[in-house]
Amino acid sequence: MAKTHVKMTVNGKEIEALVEPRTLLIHFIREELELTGPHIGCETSHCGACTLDIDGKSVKSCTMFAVQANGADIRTIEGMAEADGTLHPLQDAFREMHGLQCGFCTPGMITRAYRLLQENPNPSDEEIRMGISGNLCRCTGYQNIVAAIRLAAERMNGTQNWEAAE
Amino acid sequence: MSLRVAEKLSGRFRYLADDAPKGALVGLVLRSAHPHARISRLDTRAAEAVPGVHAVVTTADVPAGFRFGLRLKDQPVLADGVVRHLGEAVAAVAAETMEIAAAALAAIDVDYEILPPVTDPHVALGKEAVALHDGGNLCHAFDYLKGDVAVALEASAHTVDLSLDTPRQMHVALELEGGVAIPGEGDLVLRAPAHDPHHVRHVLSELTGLEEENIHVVGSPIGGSYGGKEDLHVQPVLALLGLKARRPVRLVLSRPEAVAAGIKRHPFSIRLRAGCNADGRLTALDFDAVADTGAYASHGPEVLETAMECAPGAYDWPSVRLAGRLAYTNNGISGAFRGFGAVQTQSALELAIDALADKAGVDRIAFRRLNLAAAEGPGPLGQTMVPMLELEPLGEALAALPAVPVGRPDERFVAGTGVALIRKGEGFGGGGPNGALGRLALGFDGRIRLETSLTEMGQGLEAAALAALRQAFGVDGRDVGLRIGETAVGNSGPTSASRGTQIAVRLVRKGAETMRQALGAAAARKLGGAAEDYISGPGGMFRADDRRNRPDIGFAALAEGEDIAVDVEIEPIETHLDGLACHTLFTACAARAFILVDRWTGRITCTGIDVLPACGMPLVPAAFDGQMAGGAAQALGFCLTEDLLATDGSFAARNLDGYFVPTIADMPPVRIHPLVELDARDPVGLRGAGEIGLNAVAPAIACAVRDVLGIPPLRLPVDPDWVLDVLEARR
Repeated sequence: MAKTHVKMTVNGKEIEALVEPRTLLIHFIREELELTGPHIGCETSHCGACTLDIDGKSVKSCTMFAVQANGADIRTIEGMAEADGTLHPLQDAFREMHGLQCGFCTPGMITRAYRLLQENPNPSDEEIRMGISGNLCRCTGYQNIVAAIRLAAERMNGTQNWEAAE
Repeated sequence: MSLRVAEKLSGRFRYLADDAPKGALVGLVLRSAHPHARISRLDTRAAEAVPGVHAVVTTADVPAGFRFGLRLKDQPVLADGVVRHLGEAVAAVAAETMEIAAAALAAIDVDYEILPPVTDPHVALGKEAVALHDGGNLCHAFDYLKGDVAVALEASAHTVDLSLDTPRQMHVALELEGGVAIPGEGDLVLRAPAHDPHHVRHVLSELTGLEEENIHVVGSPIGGSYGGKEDLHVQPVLALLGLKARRPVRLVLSRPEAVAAGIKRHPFSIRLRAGCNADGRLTALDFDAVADTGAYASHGPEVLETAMECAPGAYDWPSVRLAGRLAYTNNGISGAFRGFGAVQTQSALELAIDALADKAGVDRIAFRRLNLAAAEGPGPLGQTMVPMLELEPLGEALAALPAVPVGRPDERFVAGTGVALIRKGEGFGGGGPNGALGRLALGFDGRIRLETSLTEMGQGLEAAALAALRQAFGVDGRDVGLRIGETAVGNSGPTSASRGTQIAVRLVRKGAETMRQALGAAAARKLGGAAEDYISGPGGMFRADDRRNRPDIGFAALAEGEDIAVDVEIEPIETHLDGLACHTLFTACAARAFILVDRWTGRITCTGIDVLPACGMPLVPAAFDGQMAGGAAQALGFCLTEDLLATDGSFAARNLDGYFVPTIADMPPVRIHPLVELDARDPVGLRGAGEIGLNAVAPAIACAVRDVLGIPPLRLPVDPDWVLDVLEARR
């Protein structure tokens, strides 16, 4: 099948590749770019494990073809920490509040929470809950995830009560 | 916090199936579209001829008559002339790309002679039913009798008669079943999520003829299991493909494959009668259950045994009759699932307890406390047991919980509350593999590590084991490490039945004293003096009489040229009661649930959950709380949203669009009130947290539904249409 030339920015890096038109973006990211942080849980947009940040929006990347990402600016979980390895406040908060158990939903969950906090830096618990309601977690019962996002928001705003962390 | 958690957070961590060698072949499985059929012809020649195909395997590649299973070996690796469930593996291919593999699958020629499916477990057990296995459709039976139940019920002041059907719940671990096989010269590495790597290796050795020492199985970490990956899933087919292709093969199921062919929770069909005296004392329990194990036994017999052992609950019954039957059908395969049969029977029993309390006019919590089983035993089947001292404190705590606002009952929404108090056996009953081998060792990297074949699946075993190591040796996080979840280390038995974390911690604690002596002896060899002159501390060994901040020798230097290690064994505890499998060790838990029922739609919203686990002092409290909240979410699904309905052996959903895993929008706040101080007489002092929250929360939600509607639900999850019918009839 004829391949299409695509260009995109992934985690700040310019990428050029030839892709088949039917290749899903998540397969391209995982198999061609070898970024296996975003996971596949259903391939039907229900679980959210493949969530990426694309041009300032959270996107379930199993619902998009790689060719549709031509020209896009994409951030995956691998691009969330700083270049020197310093974790993003969300990643730190997920660790401290035990917002992960098996860790399989975590990349999608953090990527989604990142966009939520960009859009709404100081969300209420209810807004956090609605904000991540498209991402399934089968382990945690979500309680610690909400606590982690709240803590990260407080830190990013400089309003956090440090005692809440441990 | 283990390094692995940091890797998981940064996205750098590769789960087992993602860690394939470059150029690994793609494995795909041909699955039956029929729940019951005879294979009259299977021709793979065209598939083998597709360029880029390196292996095609069928039952012809399996030793004649080979079956695997946990207790009953009844499951073929690839259909052996007959398919017994939708999605049963018939053949598999390994090819250079997904496209080639798919083309090869399409080229396999199979003729099916379709047979009528056996789908009703009650019918399956009847004389007329077609036998799905040589021994008939009764996979397992469990009977227990104490006293004369019929007479006691007749003499009771109050009786209830109750039926409950429970769902075919899916585990829906987000990580799909998958793995990688890497064949070598006369050996095989197999990386795939597993609860018991040594068991996997044993089965693969029997299947392939390779000696066990030439097979290396890595089963940890797991991206979620809840029991769904306890049985072998892709490992046998992967091993066959890898060895035949002589190339690494990666095989990962799609979600529709996992829905069709994966393990589910056993649906139970329960009928019980129970009675009490006028003063509210229980008199008799008559409990029948029929469970649907589907095409193969998997963990079904153990599930049935645990279910029936937990059927009498935490209560003292003067007379009891228990009768459990496990039926083969063509409805997929059911097996292990967190809660393990007990959550089904506990839900029915707690509904009956509430009904009796109401009839006797006794407060529901007071009624439970009045009837609690004696702390010292005997156990629910009359067995001797480790004293279960936490039931009364939990009853007291349940009664003392503050009333909490439950949302906004109004014209449209009606509120209800339910409580439950349960106990469940921990570890394996009846001769299961309860013992464990492990090892403490000082590595050349200067870390004191625990070696165990137990696996991490998100339950926090790694974090708890690391915490136990730090505590035992008075050292820092940088001084401790783990080697877990693989066959290169001693056999610690299955990570299952809530035993994993508890066993890992006990291995550390049991070996700690000998290991401290070994560390002291090594320090004495290097620095002079006697072993007892040295104690371990942050960074290394310190002279016991000298409290400087720096160790006299660092752990890495201590390890040089030494082999400092201690083998640890935990002896199995077993019970048999006249051949009946039962547990010695129990865990107790209570729960309270608040719900709102929507009078307009019949939908039920859970507005608050309290969990009161009695597991002792958690090593990592946030991780412990996460186990309770996660269990509560699965309990909520069990009661309100989750059921994989089957018609004629075919499932109503193929993916997560037709099967409703609770999202955060479905989940209320979960408050956890742990009973951290176990009674001083408790000889174990620590209980697993994996299942018990789920076991308590599900009956509490079921009881909240009865609280609103006045009658117990007939089936779980509760159907909104049924709710509307009940509300209508009450008007």
